[in-house]
Amino acid sequence: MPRIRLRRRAATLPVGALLLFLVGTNVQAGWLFVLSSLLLGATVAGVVLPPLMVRRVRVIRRAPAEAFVGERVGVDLVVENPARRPRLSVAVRDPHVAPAAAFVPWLGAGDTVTASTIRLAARRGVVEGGPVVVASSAPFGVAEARSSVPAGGGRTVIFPRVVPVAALPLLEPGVRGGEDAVPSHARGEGYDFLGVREYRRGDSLRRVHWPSTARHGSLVVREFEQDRPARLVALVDTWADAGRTDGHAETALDLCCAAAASIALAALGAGHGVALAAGRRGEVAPPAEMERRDALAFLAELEAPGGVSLAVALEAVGGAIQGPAALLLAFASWRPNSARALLPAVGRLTARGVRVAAAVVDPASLRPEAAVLSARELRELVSELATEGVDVYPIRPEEDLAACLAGEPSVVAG
Amino acid sequence: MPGGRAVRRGRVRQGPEDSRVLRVLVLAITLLSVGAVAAVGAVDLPTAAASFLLVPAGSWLAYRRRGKANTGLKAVIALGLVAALGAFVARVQQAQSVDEARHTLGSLFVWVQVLHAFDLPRRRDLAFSVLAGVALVAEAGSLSLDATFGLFLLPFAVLCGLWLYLSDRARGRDEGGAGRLVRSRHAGRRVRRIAAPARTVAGALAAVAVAGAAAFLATPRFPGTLVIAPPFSLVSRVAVPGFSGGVVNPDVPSSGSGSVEAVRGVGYPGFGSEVDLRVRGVLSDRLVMRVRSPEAAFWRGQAYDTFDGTTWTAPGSEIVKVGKQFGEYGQAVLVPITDPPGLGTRTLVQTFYVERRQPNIVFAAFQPREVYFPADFLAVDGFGSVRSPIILEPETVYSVVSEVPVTTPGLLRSSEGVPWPEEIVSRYTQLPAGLPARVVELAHRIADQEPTVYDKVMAVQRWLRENTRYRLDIPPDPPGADAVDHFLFERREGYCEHIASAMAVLLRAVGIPTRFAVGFDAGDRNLLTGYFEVRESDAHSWVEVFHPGVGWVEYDPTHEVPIADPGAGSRFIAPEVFAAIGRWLSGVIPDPVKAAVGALGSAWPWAAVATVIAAGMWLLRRRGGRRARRPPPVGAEAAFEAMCRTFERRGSPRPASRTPSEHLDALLASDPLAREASADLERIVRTFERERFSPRPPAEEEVEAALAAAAGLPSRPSTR
Repeated sequence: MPRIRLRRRAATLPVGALLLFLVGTNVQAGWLFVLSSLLLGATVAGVVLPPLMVRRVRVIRRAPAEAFVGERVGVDLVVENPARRPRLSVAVRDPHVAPAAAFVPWLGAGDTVTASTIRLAARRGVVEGGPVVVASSAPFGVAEARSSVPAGGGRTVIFPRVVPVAALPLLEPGVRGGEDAVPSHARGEGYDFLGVREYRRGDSLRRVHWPSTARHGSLVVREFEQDRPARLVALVDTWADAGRTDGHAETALDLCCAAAASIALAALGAGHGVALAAGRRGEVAPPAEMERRDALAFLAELEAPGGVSLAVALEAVGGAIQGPAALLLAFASWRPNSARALLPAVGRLTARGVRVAAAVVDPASLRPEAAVLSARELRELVSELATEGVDVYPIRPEEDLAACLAGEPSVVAG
Repeated sequence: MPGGRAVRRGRVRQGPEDSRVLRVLVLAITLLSVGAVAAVGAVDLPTAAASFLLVPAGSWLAYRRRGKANTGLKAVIALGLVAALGAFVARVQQAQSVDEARHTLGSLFVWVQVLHAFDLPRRRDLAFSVLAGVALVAEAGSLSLDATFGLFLLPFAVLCGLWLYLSDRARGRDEGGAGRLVRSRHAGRRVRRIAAPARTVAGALAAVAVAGAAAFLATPRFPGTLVIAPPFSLVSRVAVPGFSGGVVNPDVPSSGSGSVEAVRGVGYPGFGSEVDLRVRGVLSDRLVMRVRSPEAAFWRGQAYDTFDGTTWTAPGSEIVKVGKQFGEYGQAVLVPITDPPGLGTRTLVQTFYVERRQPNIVFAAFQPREVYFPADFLAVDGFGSVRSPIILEPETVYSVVSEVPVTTPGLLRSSEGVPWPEEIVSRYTQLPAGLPARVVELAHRIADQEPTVYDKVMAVQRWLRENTRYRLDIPPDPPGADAVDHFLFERREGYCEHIASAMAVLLRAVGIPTRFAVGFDAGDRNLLTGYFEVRESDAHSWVEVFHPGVGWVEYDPTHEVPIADPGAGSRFIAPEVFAAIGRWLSGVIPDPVKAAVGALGSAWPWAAVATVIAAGMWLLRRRGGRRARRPPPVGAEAAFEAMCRTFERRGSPRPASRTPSEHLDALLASDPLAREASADLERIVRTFERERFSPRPPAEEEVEAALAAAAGLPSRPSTR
């Protein structure tokens, strides 16, 4: 049964009718009663007819399965009228990915109209294919009937924003871990020859192995022993979140995920293995290596609160890091993430030769759901992490993420 | 921002309105409203003509300059408004009555419309024009006296309905701006794109008409007592020569005493110095006046107290001239109350619009208290009847405030025992000298057993109803016969004058003071204008009976008009509407059908209920059948079905057991058209199969191609 919402005309028409009735009574003019009755009739018809205009209207949503934050997503709404009577002024309101509306002036009996909408994917996440609202205020705009209609269309995964990351020390070649770091025979650009392989886009022409190229008839390049950390583990803090007042911009957790995604994809692009971990439903699963799409989907699905503080997650993940590895901590400066809470675990990892970087989001300018560190405490955290050898990238929501990740690490403003 | 709109505080701020359709619609509404006020004479011809030229010009200019600030234009419009207001104030000061001021107000409204038409940048400005149009039409409706106003109101209502629809649709487009319709697929012919929404909007307007009719029937009618502005006006002044208070009836030739004339095609002869019961004739149905009144009443003209057996006269009635004084609502003639006030009265304000020349009688509900009349003085006789020094010409307007006695049977019975004033008894119980004794005996036989005056009156009225018949074409009375005696004992047929005279004589015979009154019946109320339309044939006579402590109370033995308070039932117009419908049905239903209904006797309500139930069941069954039918196919299914229909007409129907592919193969094997159009058929069938069975449905373009292929099949040469 459609819900009815009265519009302003539902008040103005009866008020006009009442005025005409009073004047008609005063001057005993019968035509004014006719006019008054017509206004009342329009009011009644304007309330009764809109539910008929949304009855049996079907909507099928066609939305992409995946998109990135910041992309403009094309979503089609296929509006069908299987009934035998036309429908007028049908509005379809769809919150999928981002609120959007389509207006169909008229929908004939048996007709199908496809409305194409473009929506900005403002936040990462998984958007299930929920219902749409079909509304109509036809024919007179007196009242609007709204009906919630299942639209299907499957779910859309909005991946975190990925910004270009260049010259991140964590991923730079030649950076070795601690003394107990053991090089692995992984593909990379080390100094010991490992073998040859087919040319891939982006390979330097200096690495072309011309004899093999001549034999194969296609470009073949030399591969060298990898001497960087073989694996990047990214740990995202899901303790809490902080959003903006409009609710449509990235939150603190979104920024953590965007930073983690940017660095992880850069690492994957460079041939590193990437494992991701985060607190989810009170647990932290051991970091598992993921491909590009799985990593993005993992980050898209993270929600706060995850039920595990970063310090606890760090203890769990730290124990699972084996061999040469780099660890990226992406977290916001929640109160449980104080220097005193994090430094012991970080210290143990750096002592084991694990290269640690931290993308620290300051949620103070947002609407935090939990207590945050004060500016002094944040500076203290950054300072002590830097002292511990951690590359710290302060991220402020109002600044460009790429610029934040491209800046000098361990620099804390004000 | 898209479309030039900006969002402020969550609302859409409108930019210039670009829709030409809306602008043309508003222009039509404005012109129609101006035409309506011009038609009822609320604005003069030059103003109306200027409006018809300026409003379209202004609308065109407003459209061209809709995106500009128009500061200079606004200043000019403001000056124009000030000038129009000044002219309005000046004319109001010269107006003789509030009614005249209403006409001036119409001119002001028109000029506001004209000036506003030059500055209509946004949709809400257009909405203001529509609102002003409604005000103008309401003004015209309040001044309209007849049903021709409906010629303006009907298209105006339709245009306003379209405005509501189209402006709401434009609003929807604004709000749904993020959506863009890229494809539209219609299963039927292109003509439906226009016809279907037009039918739907027409259906919505019909729904408005039905709901409006229900509201019209359910709307109570109250007396106009909040602010009363009794109008009066005079078009031409034809003075009564040598006016001394008597009645001058220009339509009736003077007749010699004792002559018997047949009156045909002239006014009612009873308005004058006498009422001769021997006069015969038929009055026409010409409209003589319209009366605006919250309720029906007798529009009383004169009363008579002396009867000589054939003629009523009023020889001893003294006449006084009364000048204007300041009444309740302005300068009015305050009519001296000739009869003692009753226990209770209610005020009834009536306005009379004279349509046909009338005698110099000021008709009014009994008894008039104040008369707003375009003359310096009036004459009032001893029966409270008012005469004017001028003839009532067409388009004369006057208003009367009356104090109508509020009586109930209980009140009238309770007045029993109150002593009769001696002068009333002596004056109003006079009987003809030669009245036959059997009339007096009949009166005593009817009334003597009744305990009260009221019951005696009712008994006489009942006897007349049961023993006499109303008839207009009666033969002349025999020479020398007493008209009442002949009516009561010989002919027993007559019209209102005979019936009322008989009642007056019978009541006087038992000592009840009674007088004979003439005037007009209330007439039929026009259901649309609300005015009572009084025709010549509504000329009527009745009796007035004096009840001690109450006063004169009207009784109508001809119609048996109830005398009591009209009660709440009369507050609604529905009974009058149903009565009018009944009269209309009675006129159009063939006599055999009416006879059949009559044969049902008292069972007709049950027959009506059974008919309604049967009709309802038929409608429900029809609706259920419609629901059971499949909705029309859409998309590739429509194309496939169209293909099947084409080959079915060529003698190759598709058996239900055959799949689309099998049917295609069978057609290719048997029909040359199928072979000729094999590519099209292949496209149709495969698209349909993909739409029906594939998880990846065909693209819109493929469906369109299939529909086009199906549509092209009947026009192929091999088809013919």
